[in-house]
Parts: sequence; structure tokens; C-alpha cells
Amino acid sequence: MNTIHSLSDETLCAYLDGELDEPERIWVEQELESNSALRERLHKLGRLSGQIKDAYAELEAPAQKQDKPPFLQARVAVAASVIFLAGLTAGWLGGGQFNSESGLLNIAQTVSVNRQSTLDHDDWRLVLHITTNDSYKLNNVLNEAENLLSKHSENGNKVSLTLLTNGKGLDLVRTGTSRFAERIKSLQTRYDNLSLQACQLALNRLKMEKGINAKLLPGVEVVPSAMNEIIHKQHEGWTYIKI
Amino acid sequence: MPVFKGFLKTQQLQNQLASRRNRLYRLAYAWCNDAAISDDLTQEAMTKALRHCRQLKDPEKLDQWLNGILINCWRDHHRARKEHENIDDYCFSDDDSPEKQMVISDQRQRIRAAIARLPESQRLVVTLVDIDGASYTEVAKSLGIPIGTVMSRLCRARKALMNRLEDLKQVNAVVNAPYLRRIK
Repeated sequence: MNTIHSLSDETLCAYLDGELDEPERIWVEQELESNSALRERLHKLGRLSGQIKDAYAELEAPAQKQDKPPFLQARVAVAASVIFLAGLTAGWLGGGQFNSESGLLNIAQTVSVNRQSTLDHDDWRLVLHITTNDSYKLNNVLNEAENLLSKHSENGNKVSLTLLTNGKGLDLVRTGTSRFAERIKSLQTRYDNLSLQACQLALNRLKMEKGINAKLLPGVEVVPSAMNEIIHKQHEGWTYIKI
Repeated sequence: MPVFKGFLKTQQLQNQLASRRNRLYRLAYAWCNDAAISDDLTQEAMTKALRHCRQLKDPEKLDQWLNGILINCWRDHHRARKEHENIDDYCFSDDDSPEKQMVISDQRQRIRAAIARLPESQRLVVTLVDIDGASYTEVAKSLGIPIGTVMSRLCRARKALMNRLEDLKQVNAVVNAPYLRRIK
């Protein structure tokens, strides 16, 4: 029994876990050879360790929840942080296109400008990513969109404006939920450089979770994934503003 | 194109994370013994990992880095729920009742229940080593404690578990003992 006292349980645990260096390991093995009580102790520890691992081995994480896809959220956050910095670097915010009083910027969560687009002032391309159904914000967005479109058409600039909707933003382009259906229709009639898009994934989610088979306003295009569309547009030099 | 580089890196990390989801879930489960909380903790840790993927300097240490994030999520969760008292300091009077022991009849459930009753500090160490197979150095770094402390906590945790499981065995032996009845 003296040997057990000189060889602490901590050392025995460390031996079991393969954490001892060579001389210590050899020493423990010598002790084990000559002491059956110690061997029994090690056996129990080893069995316990196996049982602990086994107790959780069959547990599997449930299927991912539809209402909070972490990958998508994080991907948007990562992309947003990168592009927001890109926007600041480009110095476009101070460039007078949208001044600090702009309603759009006041309600924007993220603004990103591609350097390429700032160099070519004849061709403005802007995607407004709408994820809210807040009437105040939506009204602001439509006001700003209308201002932009009319101002640029007066100046003779080429401008493309896309309203990309997903999440709660889908309400803007759904018949029955949109409070701005008439206004959108009027904008679409006046400006052919305005496009409205809805995310297919968000529509699928709506159907799966709430059983709603969404009908969209006329002229609303469905894109497979809002995220992909944003990345794609960013690559093409579109300015991105998330509402 | 920084957006695309970032996107690709995120995509890569996403695949790596997906393969580690169950591992994180098991660890979280060992700490809280609750499926819903474990799921939340796992989701939260993975979201944080993606959000802060730039902080991962050495891809080889992904697992250790993830463990650190999960531990932080668990501590945050604990902090948010715990007001002024540590539940580990309490031993409920009905914990050892025969009724309770009968419910915990399955060996795996017995072990999970025994682990759930360990003090927090010991529970984290023993689960990281035995369930996750983390080295003492990794555990020490993840928890921000010296290796000596890892060793002593681990040893105490295993001893406590052995004693607890031994006690349960004896109780079960009594409960399950053949019952003789005299028939007239």
C-alpha cells in the first residue's frame, strides 16, 4: 500500500491519459507490475474514462433550426464587416452622393461601396437589401429610391436600382401584405431601371414554417438566394445598403 | 477581392465546423445535461466562430479554439441565468432518494447524472479530457488555468465519479435484490 501513497492518483490519471514523460511512465509501469492494488485502481480509472466517453457517444445535435441559420447570419456579418470597411476606405460616404441627412443612411444597417463603382460616375448600381417590414423604414426606402431614380434620370446618369427582399422584407413584395403595392406599381411603370427581387430560400422558409404560399406583386423577380445575389452584385461593383 | 477571400475562408470554416457540431453538442450536453440548452450553446459557439474566424491564427488548433468559444458561451449562459448563488453549492435533499435512483437505471444516464452533479470546475475538466480527448495543455489553455490545477481537478472529478457510481450500484443492488415472499 505504501506504493500507492507514493504514486499519487494524479500521476495515475496522467499515466492513463498519456500525459507523462518517458522516465515517469517507466516508473509507473514498474510500480504497476509489482502492485496489484494499483493495477486494479488503474483498471477502474480506465473503465470510468471509457464509460464517460460512451455516455455521450450516441448523442447527436438536433437538425439545425430553420429560424436561425448561424452560417447565414455569420456569413452576412462577416461579409458586411468587410464591405463596410471597404465602403469607408473608398471615402464614398463623404463624397456627397448620400449626405448625412439622407433618410436611407439613417436607417441603413450596413453600407458598402465598391471602389470600382466610385471611379465610374456614369454608371450607378445600387442594391438595397430589405429585411424589415417596418412601414416607417419601407416608406423611407421608397422615398429615397424614388428620389434617386428621378434625380439620376434628370441628370442623364445611368442608374440601376434593385430592391432585394428576404426575411420580413418579403412583406414588401407580397400581395396581401404589402402596404405599398400601388406605389411600387407606379415606380415600376415610370422607371424600367428599378428591379424588385425576392429570395427563393426565404419564400421556401415561409412556406415550411408558416404554410404560406406567398404570391408576389407583378414584376417581382425570384432569385435562388439573396446571399448569393448580394455577393454576385458586390463582385460586379454594385453598391450595397442593408436596411 | 477581400469579400470573396473572406467568403471562401468562411465557407471552408463552415465545412469544418459542420463536422464538429456533434462533438461540441456532446461537450455542451455534458456540462448542462439539457438537450435544448446544449443545442443553443452549440449554435451560439458556431455562430461566434464564424463571426470571429479571423481570430483563428493556427488552423491546426481549431478544436482548442472552438472549445474556448464553447466554454465562453457556457459561462455567459451561466452568468445570465445565475443571479447570486452557485447551484453547485447545494445538495438537494431528494437527490439520493430510491425513487430517483430507480429512474436513473440506465448506465449512461447514471453517468450523465453523476457528471451533472460534479462542481462546475471539475465537470469542465473531466469532460474535456474524457469526452473530447483534449490534452492537459489544451484544457489548461482553454480554461486559463495551470496544468497542475487541471490534474488535480481531473483527479478529484474521477474519484468523485467513481464513489458516486459505486454508491449507486449498491443502492441498485438493494433495490433489485431478489424478493422472497412466503406463501401459505
